[in-house]
Amino acid sequence: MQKLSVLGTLASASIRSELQYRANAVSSIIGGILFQITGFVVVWIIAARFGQIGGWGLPELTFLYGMRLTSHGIFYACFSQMFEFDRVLITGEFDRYLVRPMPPLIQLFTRKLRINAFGDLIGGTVLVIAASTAAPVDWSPLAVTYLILAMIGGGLVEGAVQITLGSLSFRFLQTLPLRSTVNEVFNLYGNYPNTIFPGALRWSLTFLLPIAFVAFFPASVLLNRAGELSVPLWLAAASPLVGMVLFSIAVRVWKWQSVHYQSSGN
Amino acid sequence: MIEVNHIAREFRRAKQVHGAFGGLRTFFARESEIVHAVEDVSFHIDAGEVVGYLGANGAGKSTTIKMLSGILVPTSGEVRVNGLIPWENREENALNIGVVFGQRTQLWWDLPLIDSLRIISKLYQLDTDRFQRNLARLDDMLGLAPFLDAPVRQLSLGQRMRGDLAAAMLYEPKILYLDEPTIGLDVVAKERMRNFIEQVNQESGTTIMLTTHDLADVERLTKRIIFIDKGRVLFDGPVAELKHRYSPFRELHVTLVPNGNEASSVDDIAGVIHVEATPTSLVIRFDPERIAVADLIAAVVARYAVNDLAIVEPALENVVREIVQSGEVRA
Amino acid sequence: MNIAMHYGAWREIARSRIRVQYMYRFAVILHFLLAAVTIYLLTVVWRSAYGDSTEVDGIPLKLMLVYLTIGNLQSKFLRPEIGYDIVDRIRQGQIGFDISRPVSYPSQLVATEAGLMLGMAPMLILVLPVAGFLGELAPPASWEAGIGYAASFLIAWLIAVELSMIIGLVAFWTLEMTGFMMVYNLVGSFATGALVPLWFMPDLLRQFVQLLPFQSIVYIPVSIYIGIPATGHIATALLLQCFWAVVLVGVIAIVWKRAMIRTVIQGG
Repeated sequence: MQKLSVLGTLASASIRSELQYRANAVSSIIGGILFQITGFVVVWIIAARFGQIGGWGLPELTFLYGMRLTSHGIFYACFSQMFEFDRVLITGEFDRYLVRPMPPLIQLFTRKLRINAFGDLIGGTVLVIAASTAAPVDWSPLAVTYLILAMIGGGLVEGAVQITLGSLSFRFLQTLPLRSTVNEVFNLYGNYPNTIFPGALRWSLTFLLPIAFVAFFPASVLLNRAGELSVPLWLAAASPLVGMVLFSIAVRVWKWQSVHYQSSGN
Repeated sequence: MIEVNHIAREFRRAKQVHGAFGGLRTFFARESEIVHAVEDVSFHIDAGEVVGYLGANGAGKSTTIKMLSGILVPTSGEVRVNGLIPWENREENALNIGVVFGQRTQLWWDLPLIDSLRIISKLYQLDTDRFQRNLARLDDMLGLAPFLDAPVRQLSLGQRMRGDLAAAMLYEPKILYLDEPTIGLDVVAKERMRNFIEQVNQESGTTIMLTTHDLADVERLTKRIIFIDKGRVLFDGPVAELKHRYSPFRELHVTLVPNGNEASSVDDIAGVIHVEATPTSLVIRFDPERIAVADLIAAVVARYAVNDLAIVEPALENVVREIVQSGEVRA
Repeated sequence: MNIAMHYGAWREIARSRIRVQYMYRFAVILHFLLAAVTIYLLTVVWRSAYGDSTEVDGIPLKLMLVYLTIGNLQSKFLRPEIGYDIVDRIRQGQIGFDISRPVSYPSQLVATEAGLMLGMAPMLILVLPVAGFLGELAPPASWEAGIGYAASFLIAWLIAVELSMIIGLVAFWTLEMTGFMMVYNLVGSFATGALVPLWFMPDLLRQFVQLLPFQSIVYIPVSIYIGIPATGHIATALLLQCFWAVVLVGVIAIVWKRAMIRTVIQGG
């Protein structure tokens, strides 16, 4: 509980730091929304002209896109500082996290807030809500709870991948180009039904890079499309849990790798 | 309070591969070289001591401090700080120690100083009363009030260092590690810093370990020096003892009358160790147990036309320079 | 000022920028590999959208895939960075030196950009087979299409540089670029037609995009390449590009003049 209140203090400090540059904050949110709108417009144009992608109609595609985007927003709001991790190591800023009575990973995450995460959160939520009536989902309190858990789980999946790959920086100092590329792959491939890909790739995008767990599996479950999947229903339905499991594994990997920290900055 | 037994730390550096795709090959290369930053260091520091940790650049000072504060894990050896293994009980250990790195700040760059101090009071779980009390005391010692409300990025280096010291002492740690605390500061700021360190040690009994390039810091603040070179301890003992080992030798600096002297020498006088001579000056190192100062002066004046004379005590700085150059401490 | 001396300066600027590109060659290759990843995704998505039909709106699937492959490589290639350069120079207070040189600053920027792209070219060639494997490559529709594409590509390059310069000059006022640049890159990559060719856009959107200069960067050259020139004829398509190239020169002249006045008043 005490830890939680400290976490709150750190988080509010990062928000206050960010708000020191108000004009930049506003333009970042707008930039974030525009960024995602262009991505969605592509889906929308294709679906509007061709009626479907991989057998999914516009409402379903919108729902999927919205879920993915919200997950990404959650990921970005909580873990955006993974993208600064290399720099934190190189400048030696990481030293001071290690001499404070708080887990270093939490100090990293609360280092700064990237305001454009709210662009993703707003955009994603709007899309999910917009698609919610047209998409064939049997809405019930359970379904809503599942949706929310799934989106949090999706954020955790993305976080887990970034943390695991980021932990390699303890040895190699620079993994950002690799991680940005992986992040881009999530952003590109996560927005479409996984079933459009050929078998081997579909498998890779499920088990190698767990992109399918971010939004595609839970969306399929909610849209009653689980029958089309190449994995058993229980696995797809367990997506929120998968997120939590992957995340806790990632944190362990990170701790395990942190022994290799060389504190080179000076 | 601090026990260090035979710690070593090596770093693995990937060997740079040059030529086409050098960067990529470096990344995947298995080849790496091992650098021994700390080879074998042991010492014990008691509660309330102030210890100067000295050595040339790259001698392993910072690496040691980092192992003591839990930042680095040693390759081998044992460390106990207040009974804890720093890198294993990192968060518990953090409550006992304050760390100040001269070149870096631990404050929140974009926020007013007071906000950083508040956040730190939360991190270390101080209640409001204790926070206010400690803040008032630190303000009294460091004069923080004029810039408490300014964002840290607008502070001068001296102000920022004071802020960093306040941040490190706010939760009254038992141990304070200072890595180059006076680097880059002007004379006034240095003096203020030293006063503060002295006061903290005397009033709160804080154990202090200090690395520095400025030997004035050491002469002023510490009674004990640990001197390391190439990752090993060369000397561990009182400042006075280190000087004493050199004290057989004093120096007589002589300024000669220009053009007033025929070629002569003092090499033959018993007790003279070494002479550096120029046409206008002499630096004579001698052993005062073998020749009285007055006798030496008399002998010099008898042989030379002298303008001025001075007896020079060995400065710690010269002692240290000599140790670094020779790589050993005179027994 | 004689041209020969200017030419020497431009060549030197371009050369130094080529060296920079070579230093960052891995980032550049990664940049193109990401283009290949994008191309593959678009290929799969469009294949899926086409479904069983081989032709939609008179566009065969194969041509569509060639369009996407070339279009996306080209759009990554024609992504100028001088906007960032300008901001850096202004921030570091070096812009005064740049402006006071005997060779005009805008022409220095064009030379920089030329070096940037020449430096990227070898990396692009490395990635080409990968892109062809993941997407679809084919020779130009005809020899006229080939020549037309080459001409159109050069104008596309010029327009990309001009747009980048205009964006960069805005930094004289805002002193901040990242948000702006992000929007530009995005809106740009969409409005160029790299992700969706204009012919598949809904009418209203297409009419809007047609009013912008961005289509000259990808859509016009690549549609010439695959034999379906945007305006129906290669010549008119090139003419449209030229029109924009000239208009943008005018815009730069105006913005530059104002930027100079501003710099003189504020003292850099």
